[in-house]
Amino acid sequence: MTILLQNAVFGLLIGGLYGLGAVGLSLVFGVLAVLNVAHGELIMLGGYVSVWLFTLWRVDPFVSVLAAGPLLFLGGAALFRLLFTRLASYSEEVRIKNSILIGFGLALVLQTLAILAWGADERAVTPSYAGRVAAIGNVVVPLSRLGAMALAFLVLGGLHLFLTRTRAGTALRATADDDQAATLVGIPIGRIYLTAFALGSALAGVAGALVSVSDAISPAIGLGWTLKALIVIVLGGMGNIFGTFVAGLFLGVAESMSGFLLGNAYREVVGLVMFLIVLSVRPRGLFSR
Amino acid sequence: MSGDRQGLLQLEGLTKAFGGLLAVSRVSFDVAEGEILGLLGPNGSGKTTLLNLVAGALRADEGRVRLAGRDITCLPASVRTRLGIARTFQLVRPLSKLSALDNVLVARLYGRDAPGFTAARRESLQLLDVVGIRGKADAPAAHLTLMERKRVEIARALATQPRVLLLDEPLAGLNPTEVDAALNIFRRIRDSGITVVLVEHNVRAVRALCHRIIVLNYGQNVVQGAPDDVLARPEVIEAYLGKASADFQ
Repeated sequence: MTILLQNAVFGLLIGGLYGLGAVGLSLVFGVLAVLNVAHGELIMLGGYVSVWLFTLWRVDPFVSVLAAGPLLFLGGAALFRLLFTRLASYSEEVRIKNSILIGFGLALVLQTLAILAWGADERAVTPSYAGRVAAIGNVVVPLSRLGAMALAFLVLGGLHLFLTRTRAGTALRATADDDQAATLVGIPIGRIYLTAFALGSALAGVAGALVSVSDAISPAIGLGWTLKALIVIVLGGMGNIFGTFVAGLFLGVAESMSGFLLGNAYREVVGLVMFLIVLSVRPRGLFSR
Repeated sequence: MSGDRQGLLQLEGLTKAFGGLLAVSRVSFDVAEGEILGLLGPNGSGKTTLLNLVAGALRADEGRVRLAGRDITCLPASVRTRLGIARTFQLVRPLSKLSALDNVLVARLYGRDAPGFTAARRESLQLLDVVGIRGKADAPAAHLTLMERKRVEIARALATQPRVLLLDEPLAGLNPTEVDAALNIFRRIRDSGITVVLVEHNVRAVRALCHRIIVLNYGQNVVQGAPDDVLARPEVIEAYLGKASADFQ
């Protein structure tokens, strides 16, 4: 029983990051109808920001979040201007198809650049509290992962406030709903597209820095995160922030439970099976009304 | 009326063709500040195309559109909205996942002289009050009835603080009780001094609201004048009857 509970706790803690990793991708897809399959590579870059700040100046990874977010915001804005702006004038279907192609190309380029710049080795951040745990009964909770989960939750809460309580956030939701109708009320959707992509990238940066708190970073981690994000988005339903977060937790727990019950080889399979089932039974997501 | 006052909205020789079909052909008229202008005409006479040319959804092939003397012919729709042109659609098109309040709010935030978020929210609630659906402020637009969605759309158009409001068949699909309710809303809009261009088949409504009527047929303005005069003209009855004769009461 204890060991089951222990697995559930680990699942929840990793699931928080799955949720955060997926929200940025969901936001970009919801607003722009651009599926940026290089989202995982942006998470990887966020991880490297943290790794380098730690290696050079011993900056705590939780502090590095404050650098990774804005840096990836700017990087995302630049990538959008360079690669995705032109797509905006096409129909939704054309946009989705072409953005996947552009995204795969971008993913390969970013991955290769990362290998050239930093080598293919795994790098880890090792703050003084790395191994510390809190024990609740017989269950141990690693403090660094708990902190990452808490911060992920805070960031999502902040995103929710931004989307519902600010001018730009309201415009983002309007554009996600119907970009033609949004134009008609005077929203400059070009700028909203740019904001959404930059914000989605910033969320990837934050997620990457938080991943570095407890996991090693290497140039190859991107695709795995993109896949997780896609599964989580399908489970949670498009454009639903808290749905996405809960779906992340759900996937985390499901993975760690199945890893424990069925063997580690089945960890990843379970996520993909859920992905297929949800797509065929509830294609609008588990939490859609 | 157009001769003796500087028109707030000026259309000059507007022409638009779709392929070989001339939808709007050399249409010129002025709309004076505070005026309610009715645009009548049978289906396919170019009324909606004309509104699209003014609102910026379509670009004119020839001719100019001026707002308060400024040439806006080539400006995109979003800029025209900020300059003070708002419109509603024949087929209502609210942001369906957003709440009624958010629909109005986003328009207020990106309209003319937009205030801060909190003030915009307060003003948006007042506008929902004006159109009579304050009680549904938090309901997603997709869950509203047709009349309620039309109300949201009018509130949304008003929220951009327009100088000119273009209404495209706002009464289509409403029952007589709803038409009366809508007319009351339009009277309030008229009394607040906003200039309105109203495209409408409902002759009773046009007669009740408009200062002046222009009748279009085959994309050209056939005749204009005071409602009672225009509606009595034989060429108007000829252009109009057969298509919408049921609307004549």
